[in-house]
Amino acid sequence: MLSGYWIFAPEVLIVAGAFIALFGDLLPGRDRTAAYVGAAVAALAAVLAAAGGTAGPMVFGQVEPDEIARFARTGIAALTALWALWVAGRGMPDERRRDAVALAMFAAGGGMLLTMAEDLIVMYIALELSTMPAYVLMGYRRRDVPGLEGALKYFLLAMLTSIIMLYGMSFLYGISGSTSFAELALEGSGMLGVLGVMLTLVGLFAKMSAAPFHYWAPDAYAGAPAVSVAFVSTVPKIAGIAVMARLLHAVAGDVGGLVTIMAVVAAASMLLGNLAALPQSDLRRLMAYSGVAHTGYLFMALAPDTSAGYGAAVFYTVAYAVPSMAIMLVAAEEGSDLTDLGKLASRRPLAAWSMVVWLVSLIGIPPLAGFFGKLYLFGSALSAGLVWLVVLGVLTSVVSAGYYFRVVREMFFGDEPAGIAALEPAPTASLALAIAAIATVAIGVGASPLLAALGVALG
Amino acid sequence: MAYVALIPLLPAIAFAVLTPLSREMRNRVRWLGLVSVGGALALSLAAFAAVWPGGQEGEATYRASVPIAQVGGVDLNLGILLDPIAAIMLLVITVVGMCVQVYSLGYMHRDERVGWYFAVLSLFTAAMLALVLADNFLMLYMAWEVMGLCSYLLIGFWHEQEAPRKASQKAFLTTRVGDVGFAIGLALMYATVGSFEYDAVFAGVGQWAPGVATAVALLLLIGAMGKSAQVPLHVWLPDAMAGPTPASALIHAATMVAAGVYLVARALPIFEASGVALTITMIVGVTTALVGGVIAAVQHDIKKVLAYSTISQLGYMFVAIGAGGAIAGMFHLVTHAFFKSLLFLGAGVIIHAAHTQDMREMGGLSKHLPWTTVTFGAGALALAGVAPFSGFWSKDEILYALYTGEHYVVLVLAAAAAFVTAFYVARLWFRVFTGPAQTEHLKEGHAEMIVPMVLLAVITAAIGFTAPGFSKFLGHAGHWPDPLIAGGSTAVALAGLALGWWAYGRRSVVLNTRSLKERAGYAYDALAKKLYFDLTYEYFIIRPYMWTAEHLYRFDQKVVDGAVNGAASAWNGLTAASARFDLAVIDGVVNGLAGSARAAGRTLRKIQVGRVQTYQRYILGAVVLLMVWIVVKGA
Repeated sequence: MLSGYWIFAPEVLIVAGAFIALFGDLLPGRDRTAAYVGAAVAALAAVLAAAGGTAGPMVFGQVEPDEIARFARTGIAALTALWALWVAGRGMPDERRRDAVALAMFAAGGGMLLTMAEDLIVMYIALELSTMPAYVLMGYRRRDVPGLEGALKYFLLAMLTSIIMLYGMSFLYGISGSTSFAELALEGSGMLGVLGVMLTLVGLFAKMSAAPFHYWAPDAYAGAPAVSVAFVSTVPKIAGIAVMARLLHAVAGDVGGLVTIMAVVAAASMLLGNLAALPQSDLRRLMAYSGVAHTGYLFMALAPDTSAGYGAAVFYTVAYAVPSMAIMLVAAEEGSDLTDLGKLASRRPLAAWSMVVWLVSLIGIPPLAGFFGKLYLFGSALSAGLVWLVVLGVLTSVVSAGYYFRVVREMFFGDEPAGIAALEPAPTASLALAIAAIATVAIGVGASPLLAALGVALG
Repeated sequence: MAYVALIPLLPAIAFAVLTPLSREMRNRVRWLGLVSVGGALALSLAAFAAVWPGGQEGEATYRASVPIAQVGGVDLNLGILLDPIAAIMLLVITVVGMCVQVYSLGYMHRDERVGWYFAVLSLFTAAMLALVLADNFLMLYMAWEVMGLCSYLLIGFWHEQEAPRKASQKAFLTTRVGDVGFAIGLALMYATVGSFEYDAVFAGVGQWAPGVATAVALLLLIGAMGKSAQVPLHVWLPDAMAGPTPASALIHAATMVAAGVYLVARALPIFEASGVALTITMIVGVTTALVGGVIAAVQHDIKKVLAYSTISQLGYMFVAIGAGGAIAGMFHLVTHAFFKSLLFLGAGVIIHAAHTQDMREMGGLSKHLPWTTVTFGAGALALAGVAPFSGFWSKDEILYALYTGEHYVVLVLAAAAAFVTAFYVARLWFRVFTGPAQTEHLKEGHAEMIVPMVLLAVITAAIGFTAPGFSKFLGHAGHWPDPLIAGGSTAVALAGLALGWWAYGRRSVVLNTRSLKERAGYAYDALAKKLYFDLTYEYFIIRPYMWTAEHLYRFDQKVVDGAVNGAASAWNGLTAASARFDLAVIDGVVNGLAGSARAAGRTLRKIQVGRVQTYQRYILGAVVLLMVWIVVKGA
């Protein structure tokens, strides 16, 4: 247990690690060392976040490191460590590693702060801090025109939704006279209160790529290097869900209609994400739409304002993020087109079988992390009476099996892509992937104690 | 009666439907705006019939409201109130709006963004209709601001060109000066009464602390002066003529600029409680009427003449209200809306035919544009105040109000303004329609342009006779013109026309007024420079501001950036291992973008940029849908 301000040690470590990575030139071994240092620091931060325990409101009530935050911070730091480890092994395409690792760690620091935010201003700043580096990561190959275009689109659309969010926050402040979540007094504020909350949520909807605010994601992902997508499509989502849980918990009692807004966005995301993913032949695009769909599942649990639902959602983001990141990392090694994965099973049986584990987890088959995650999501929505949403969720899950299995089919029965050079062995990267595969199983097996801790968090 | 709420909603829906469409689709379904305004017109007629025969002042035929929010324990409502004055305004807006939309089909048919033009025009109509239907000052203010936005968008419609862009900014910023006053006035009103509703505000206006009524009234007046282009906030209106002519007809002649007059008329109890505010209103009005009139007399651009004329006529309306003749002011608002929009539409045809806006390059148009000549003539005579055209009747009522109110000095000044008005009307007429033709291939406008003008001309010719009925409808005693005033004003108008004919109508002196100008010398110079208003603002506000901004920028460049750069060079030394310290990625994005521009070529870039805008439109559309849902559910 860390007491007092020591509880923020993981964030301080992560940011410090980012600076060390940025000036990795000065370290022996240079670029690669920078990535190793980043991975080690992030791993240490994850351990500290997990062991650090929880506390009540701190810093004048602006942040609250509670159970949800603890779980999400651990997840963010651990995934960042995993990602940095892989980068240490394989590197960034055509560019140096150290800036990428530093950017990822800045984003992770912002994300970790975001999970604790108990104040509109802190939330906004943390959100920007966690997204700003992501724009750069998405356009990381500076001579790659389509990639830069995707990044620019991401930037422009994210800015638009950020502005909408600020606009909504101004209403919330205007009504309550305070920016603190605890002091948002929206009761009886009528339409204006709902409007303010809705506009504030729009910023988060977009960052979570929920339909119909997801337009940036497929274009930006398809243009960006797969390794950047691996980070940007996963880690910020954990933070986003955590802060959404906080915000909704703070306001849902006072303003009506949020259930419907969340449920409609959830339904739209599940439908659009899963259907649009079906015809994709680019793995990045496919995973972009899969991300939209998963956001839909997550929102299903956030909709009813129950502590079980919030816990389930935060748990499932991590359960989704691990396999999703790992799949993109494999795509970064093999190529992003589905045909690039042809006969992967005969070339790299271990990688192919790990892919199977991740994909199956995303579909939601026991005993993997995804199964329990979805079980709790659907369960919490069901107990809140959102039957139609659950039915839709189950049906679209079945649809999703279609496109995930296309990947599996390609790996086992597809044609070997012509003219590929044998991949250089990179033990560190393989280690990262192995950890991801084990974690996918372990989170599934250890689901109930984790959820028991989370389920009471926001009671 | 709930259909009253549909009157502003129909054009708003048209806007909501048109906006998210692609440009091609929008252009194809541009008739949607027309249909919606047509629907609003039909409903306005029904509303008018429901109010008929009127006569009850301050009594509503229909009212309804929905709460939108509760702030600090007080409900904020969106409410509509249908009373005689609102019913008349509804008709004016929808009739002129309809005429302008039909006319625009012909006038704008070759513009590639015509769909967007109709969308904004519809939004404007919706806002103006909401403004006159509002039952509280907050909603009025909201509609007021939406109109300001539409005005900005339409003035800057051809934003590829420098002048419209600048004019749109000038209009927006100048009216903003007034709006700040308006907003403070509203805040003061709310602090005093705790409500924005007309009824609640007016009920206790007698018990307000001394000075509060005056303060609120004057602050509202500042808002009205900005919107209605009263001296000294009038400078934006002539520049606003850079927008499409039919938009000028609707917004900058008939409706939006009259909103200030409407505001003062609505808030009249506050002005009456103050007393001194009424006098100030009158002084502002008469000053504007004279200043606008004399500047109009030296303008060469036909639209600028009409713009200054609008300023001057709006001043007339303020004079009327200030003198206690609110009914006369409102009647002039109505007649002016019809004849001035008619004049603008006519000017549009003239500009299309002559391919210039400079009256010195026109002449002899009457032979080639028969319809325009006749309809424009009706409008011109109305503006000059010649019986039986509408302007005569309303101007007569205003002068009569001044006469019975014993404001004799103002009466003389107003008569002087009327004289100048008649003079510049004659000047315009003889320069444009008589004399030798200076351009070839003069063509009359399309049918869809002529028909609305004919309709407006008929209204202009006939509506004056409703003067007594108008007063009765609004709950006041009506009367026919007083022989003394009517005779006097006709004499003044004819004298002005005669002077105009003498200077510009006789063949011998046409195009040669130099001797006159030389003799007038300094005075002419002052007038031609628009009495130095624009120059004063330029030298004492804009230039110092730009100077300050420039120096702050330089400070930023030198000191702040210097510090940053210095730190960067320090790092350069430190990181000797690397050739230079750069934020690789940010550089990369910038360089990459430049490379992208070079490599991708024009077409590709256009598609890509367009896509982001489409996405943004989708996102905003989704937000709006959610908002609509919240409102529908809340209501």
